[in-house]
Amino acid sequence: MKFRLFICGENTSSNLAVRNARRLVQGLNGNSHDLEIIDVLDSPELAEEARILATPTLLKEDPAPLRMLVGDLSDLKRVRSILQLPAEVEYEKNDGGHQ
Amino acid sequence: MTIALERLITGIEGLDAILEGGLTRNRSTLVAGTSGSAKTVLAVQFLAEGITKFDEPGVFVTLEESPDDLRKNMMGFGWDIEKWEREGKWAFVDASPRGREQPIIAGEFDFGALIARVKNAAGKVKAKRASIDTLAAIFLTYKDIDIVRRELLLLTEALKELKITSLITVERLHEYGEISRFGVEEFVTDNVIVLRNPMERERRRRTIEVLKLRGANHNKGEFPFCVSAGRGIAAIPLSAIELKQHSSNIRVTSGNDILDRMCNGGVFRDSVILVSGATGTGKTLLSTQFLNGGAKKNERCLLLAFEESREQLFRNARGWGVDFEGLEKAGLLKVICMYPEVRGLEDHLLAMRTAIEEFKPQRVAVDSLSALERAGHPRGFRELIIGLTSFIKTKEITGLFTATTSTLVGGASITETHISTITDTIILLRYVELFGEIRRGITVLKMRGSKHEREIREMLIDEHGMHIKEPFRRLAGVLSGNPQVLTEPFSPDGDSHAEAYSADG
Repeated sequence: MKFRLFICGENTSSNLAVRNARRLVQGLNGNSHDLEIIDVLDSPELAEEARILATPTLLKEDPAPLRMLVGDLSDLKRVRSILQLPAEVEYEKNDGGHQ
Repeated sequence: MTIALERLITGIEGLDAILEGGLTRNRSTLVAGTSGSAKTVLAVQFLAEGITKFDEPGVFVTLEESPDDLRKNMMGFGWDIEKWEREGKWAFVDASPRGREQPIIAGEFDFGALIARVKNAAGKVKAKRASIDTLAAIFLTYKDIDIVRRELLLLTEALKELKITSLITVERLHEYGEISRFGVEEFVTDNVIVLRNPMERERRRRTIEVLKLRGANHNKGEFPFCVSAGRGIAAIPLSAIELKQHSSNIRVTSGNDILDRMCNGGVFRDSVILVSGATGTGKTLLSTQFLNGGAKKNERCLLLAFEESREQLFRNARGWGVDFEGLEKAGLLKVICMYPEVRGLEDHLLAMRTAIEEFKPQRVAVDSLSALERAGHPRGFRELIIGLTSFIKTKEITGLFTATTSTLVGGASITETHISTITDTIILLRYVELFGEIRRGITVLKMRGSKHEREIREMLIDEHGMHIKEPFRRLAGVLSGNPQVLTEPFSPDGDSHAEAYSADG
């Protein structure tokens, strides 16, 4: 699986999205997944290429179909169901940011 | 103390006059319109005029159509976006939804990516202008109106910081009523322009209105505009041009010596003459002689005909001893026949202006305006006359328009009542019933800025054209078509006890 997460600088929703995306990917342990984090302030060209408007945006690029999730991904359960990912057995409740 | 805001001349024909000098610099203007109201054309043209006329590069943020579609669709207006992209004068920010599924909202978000992309594109081309087309898509996708509004505000602020003047288009559902579909967009911009495209008498009539221009003056109300290939949007800023009309004191011939004398030595060069009369009173003849008189002095003459075919016009002219073919061959005459019903009035105006710009005549005859009147709404008709009149005057052209009265004797035409205040000179041609005969009369009713003869003269028509004779003497009520013979000279103070006999009595 391949994910790309677009964020815009350092802010609450960026940080939250990064943590949630990491947790999502960790939960898929054992698969050959990859998470790339792109800051649009550093690489606007990549946002242009992927036609990203909103931040944070999580793109699931592989396997098809492409999925686009906008927001801080705070509802991980919903995110998993949208991306049709297997539910995490030991689902760790989002406590608002502490790792 | 108020400081006048610096303006940015859009370069869009007519719009700067309506804006009284252009948009306010570094600010955002919302352009609201129903679908098909030419919002995208305006958004593209804003950048196109900037690039071609002022060397001001631009960023185009497309939220609906793909850049490829825009590149193709806008070629018809003569805008080669691809070339400007290569030259580094135009940059797209492609936010079109094509081939992509809708994003799913999962938590808090902002438009940081969009703003970063706009800044990046602006930096690349050193943009002075930006267009964002159109917001509807963004509202439909990112349903949280409060967030969208907050983010739009951030976007307009970013543009301001970059010293970019921008247009943001937004869709509205109805021609009148709330400005925009989501009812919030107008609060994020300083200025609001509304494009309308309502049906009037089975025809679309496009108008543009500047609703708000914060901190600056502008012309109020709706102004007609047309959209045409190779040109784009051209607005007709009526009140703005009317003020600028100038006139010269140079006189030119009307094509008839006696008529020139009646006008105290000819008509003014930058003036418009209205010839009003019933069918068959000699309007087409008068315009033929008007053109012939110009051509004889080596002036280029243009005839815009709306009633008769080319063949008819040439045959008529021949019948009056005027050689249209010869004049055309010599390059002194161009005859363009148009059918009034085939297009709307705005398009007619544009077609006439284009014909004038191409042929560059010194005189223009329009025969007849009344035919055009049938092609549209009275208000649109008046606007057409104003637009055409002012255009002719700024080009230092002598114009002659004919108008047909609906009744055979006497009477005023609707055309006349609409436009008499706009034209400089009015010549009346009337049938006169006299001693059981129908005769023709001609008089100069009005001539702005000049003395003119006030008498009504008899006019004869034969194979040599028209002949203006002596004034009708000792008659009253000639213009009514049913004059009365006076036994004593008519006294204008009205208390004369002159006996009057009915002419046919």
